[in-house]
Amino acid sequence: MARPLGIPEGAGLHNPLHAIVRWREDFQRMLSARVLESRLGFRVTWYLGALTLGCFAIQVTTGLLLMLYYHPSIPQGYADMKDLEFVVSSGYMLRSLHRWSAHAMVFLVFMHMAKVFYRRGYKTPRELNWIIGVFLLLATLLLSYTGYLLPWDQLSYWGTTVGANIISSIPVVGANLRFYLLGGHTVNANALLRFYVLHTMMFPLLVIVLIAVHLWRLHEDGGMYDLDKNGNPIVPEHSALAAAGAPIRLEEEKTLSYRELLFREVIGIEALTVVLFVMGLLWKAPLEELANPLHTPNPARAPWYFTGLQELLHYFPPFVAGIILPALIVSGLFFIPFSPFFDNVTTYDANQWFRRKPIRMLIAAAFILVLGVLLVRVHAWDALLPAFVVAILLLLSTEPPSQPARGLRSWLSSRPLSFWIMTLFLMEAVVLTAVGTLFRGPSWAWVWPWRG
Amino acid sequence: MSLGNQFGRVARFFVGTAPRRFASVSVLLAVVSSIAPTKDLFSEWRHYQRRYVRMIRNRPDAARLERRFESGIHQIWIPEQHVVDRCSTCHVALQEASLADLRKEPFRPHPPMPHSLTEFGCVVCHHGQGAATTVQEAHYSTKAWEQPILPSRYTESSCGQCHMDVLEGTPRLNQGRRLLARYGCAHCHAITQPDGTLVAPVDEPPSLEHVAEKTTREWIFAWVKNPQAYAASSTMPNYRFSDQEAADIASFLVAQSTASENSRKELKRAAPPPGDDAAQAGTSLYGTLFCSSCHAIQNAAGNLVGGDLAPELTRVGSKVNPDWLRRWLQAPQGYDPKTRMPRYRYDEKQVALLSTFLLSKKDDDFLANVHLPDSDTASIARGKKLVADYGCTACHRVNGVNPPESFAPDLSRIGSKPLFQVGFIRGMPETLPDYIAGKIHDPRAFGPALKMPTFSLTDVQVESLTTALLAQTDRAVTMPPELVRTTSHAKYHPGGDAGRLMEDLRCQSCHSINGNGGDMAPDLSFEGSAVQRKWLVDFMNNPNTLRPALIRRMPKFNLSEAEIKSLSDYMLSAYQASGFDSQALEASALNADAAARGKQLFYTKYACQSCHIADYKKDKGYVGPALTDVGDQLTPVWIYKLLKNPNALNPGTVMPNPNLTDGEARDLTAFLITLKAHPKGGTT
Repeated sequence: MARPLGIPEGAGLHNPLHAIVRWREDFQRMLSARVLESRLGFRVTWYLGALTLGCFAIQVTTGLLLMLYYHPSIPQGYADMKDLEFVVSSGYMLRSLHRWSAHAMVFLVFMHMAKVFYRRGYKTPRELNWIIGVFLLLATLLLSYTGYLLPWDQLSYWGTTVGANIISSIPVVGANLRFYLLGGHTVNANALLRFYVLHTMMFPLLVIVLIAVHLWRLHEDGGMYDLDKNGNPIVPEHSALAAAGAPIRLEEEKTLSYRELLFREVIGIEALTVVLFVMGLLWKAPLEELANPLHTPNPARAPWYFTGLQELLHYFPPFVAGIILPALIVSGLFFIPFSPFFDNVTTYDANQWFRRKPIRMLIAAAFILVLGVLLVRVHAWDALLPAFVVAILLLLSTEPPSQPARGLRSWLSSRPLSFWIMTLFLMEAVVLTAVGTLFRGPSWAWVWPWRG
Repeated sequence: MSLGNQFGRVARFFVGTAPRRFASVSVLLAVVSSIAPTKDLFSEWRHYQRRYVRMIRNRPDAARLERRFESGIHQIWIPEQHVVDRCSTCHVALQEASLADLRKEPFRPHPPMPHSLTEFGCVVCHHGQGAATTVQEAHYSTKAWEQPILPSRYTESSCGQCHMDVLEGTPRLNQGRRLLARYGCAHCHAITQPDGTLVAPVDEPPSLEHVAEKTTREWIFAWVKNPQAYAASSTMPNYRFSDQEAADIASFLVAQSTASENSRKELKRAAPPPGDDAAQAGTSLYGTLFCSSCHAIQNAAGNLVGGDLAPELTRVGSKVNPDWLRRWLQAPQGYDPKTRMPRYRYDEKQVALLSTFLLSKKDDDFLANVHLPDSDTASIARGKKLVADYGCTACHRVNGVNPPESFAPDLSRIGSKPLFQVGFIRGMPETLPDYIAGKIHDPRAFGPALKMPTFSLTDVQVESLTTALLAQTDRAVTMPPELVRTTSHAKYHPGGDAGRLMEDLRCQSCHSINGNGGDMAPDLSFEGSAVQRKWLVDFMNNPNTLRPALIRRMPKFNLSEAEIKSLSDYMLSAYQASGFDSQALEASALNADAAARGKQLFYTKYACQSCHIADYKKDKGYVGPALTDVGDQLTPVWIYKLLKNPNALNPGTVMPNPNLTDGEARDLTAFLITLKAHPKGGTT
């Protein structure tokens, strides 16, 4: 019997079972990956990535069930919310789980990003995974934002409107972009349909693909080790052993990474699910009146993860707050980790981003001055607070590191510039989001939450 | 062993090792995730349904009730009206008439009503959130639903969403609609009703173009300050003007006044007869002319006696200029061409007597303390501005000030006004009915700068008006036309000489003809088919009353022979109903035998004498008109057809349909036409 050239005996086209055997072997090889047990502990990653994945799994499950009840039309979509609340058994729990899990996912993605950043997990060879992670962050925000409209109540309608108006402030293309997103000039039935398709089809598929690549790279890049400047894993336990003169038997300390890790992380995800169920029992997902394009609530608030942006929009012109700042943030996330100027030190390298105290003082002073003047000029008082905290920490860090490295000051002084930028960004995000969500009343005026 | 150690042991048992952690968290997850479905088993609506099942077990017709009861969520779905009503999930016994003795919700059956529950649902009438299955969400205002259940005292308003016709079961709504028209709300507010027509005011704010002829600056001042001090029944609202403002308005109104057509005519004046006789004669003339059909006067006991169609005359002597009054009585249209007051054919003596009587109706205290400074141009200018600002010309005609356009908010959809558009007063209940009622009761409480004046209305009237306004919902305005029960809004005016005469006599102030006119007196649309010529002529010569119980009567117009002929010719030929040819009833069938049988039917089988009087000596019926001379008055065909179906010829009559056979109707007709004022033989 003639066989096609180049295909070895026993493999190939005539017996598909061989392919399964091969896949099984690949899979076993993958599962046989080993990792130091100490690297699987909670304190290493806080399981933030796994918990985010868990949230996504909850989103897919509850989302599919919600799709059984939901029609993306007006006003039926809103009536379906009422049916979920009043007729479908545990329908409110489905909705609440979906809602709180979406919030948790956005929150956890941010936490995951910060954790990875501060652990400098973006270093070689994980640059690609960092970039994918940034895309996943954006995709998560878009998923959440497109889902926000679907209940078609006042909250969702106006939240989406505010978001769409932020987009339209992009010069030249903004208006068109909004038009394509909404399928019209205002949030209407076309927008609802588009958001529905984006929310239930396109963005989930995108996220699934990105997650697959993310996990694949995680596997390929060798798990959760800090790496030294040569790309070799750094294991603190080993340094201790080496110091004590004991032999290092790396392979013996290793354990099957998937079996152990999955087990731990599934427990974490279950615990998170318990928390979300309890939240669902305590607080129903909000639902206000049917969307009324003629009645703008005051204030019309965006979803909480955009209220920071909205707070900026309150201070800066739309072009600055809606475009320049977000663009700076996103491009910063893409480029700062890989720019030698911003990120010129590794964790255990005593090199500093500027060794000489006067220059460092000068830069810190300039930073305080520029940012301070800018924020005072636009009366962005709440944005001043993180800037001042960062400025004070910067000044503290001007002390040259004492040997051996001990104490906050020396720790601070060994941080690279990227650390400071990320810290400022996160602090601003937390402060502005908190202010925008909790402290803003009618006409975006300052209101103490307990007076509301 | 210390407490800490014990706790540590327990904790270690549950989370000591990874498999135990996994087991513990998994069990916890299983428990937590089953709470919501379990809670559903104890939901409010299941609780009520279980209570209902327990309750009906003890009822005599338990088997039937149990058979008819279906557990689960019930809903009424009416897609065209966007209605999904699940109210009957808890209110399970809405259609169980046998539970009518239950007074407590949610198991009270719905009172009998003309609509089917399944066709109309619940929220169309009761508001609230029909889709909800919890008490709180269904009945009250929540973040997800603004309009709570409509308080039951306003429920009639919901009927008004479709029904423009006057319904027997909706006295509040009917009164409210009458008040809307009577208090002239629609002079300022546009109110489009469900059938597409605007509410038309029926009050008659007088023209002020010649007001200086009629009254004095002092009277205007006092009137504007407080209209009800002059006439308690006045519908003119109180604007709460200051003394200065009222004086300015009075100055302006006097200044803008021009000479009327009447003032250019020579006043023929008869000397009033002297002394008490004159007063006596005037009083009795006021009575015999039936002025009180329209005008009211407060009697000694303080009660108003008379109609409310025209101004109260209790203190008219303190108001009017005597010469103006005499001219007015002779030719009202010469002063105000649009007045509804008929032109009576009074002779000079009658005018003298009437005016003497009316001028004696005065209250010397009314103007005793009014001392106004001389009017000057500044005051007149201020007055003009006030008249324009407060929209006086929305009701009254005033020289030099045009009627304001879209002066006040459109109330066509006030019943669906979103609460976010409402500025509530601090402390008031934040519901729409409360807002509307509060606004009607005391508009200025919502802001001293508001222009809307305060009307003198009782609490019941405020409630009725609120009911009428609550009917003006979005649903009402967008209702498919085939669902709207409309009334006719024809603008019929008779033509020709007779038409001019009827215009002069203002017949349609009281009578409705072809859908246009007042509702005080009988509809004349088919009068030509109904009455006999001789009776009509006699009646116009000397209107007596058909219903002794009524105070309001047709006034005496003192018509000339020629006028009466013209009117009766026109009415007998023009106001014919179709299908009233005499062929419908053979004259031969109306013989004495038939009349005898008819009398039998009248007194025994149908007991007509309980409402009507055929013989003053025997009968005591005062509900319907007396029939003692009905044989002179009505045509046999009319009587026959009226007996066959009273409501067809006399819509809204209280007379029940006796469901007569043709033979019985013929016999009764034969009997009734023998009832004549001056019988020429036959039965009495």
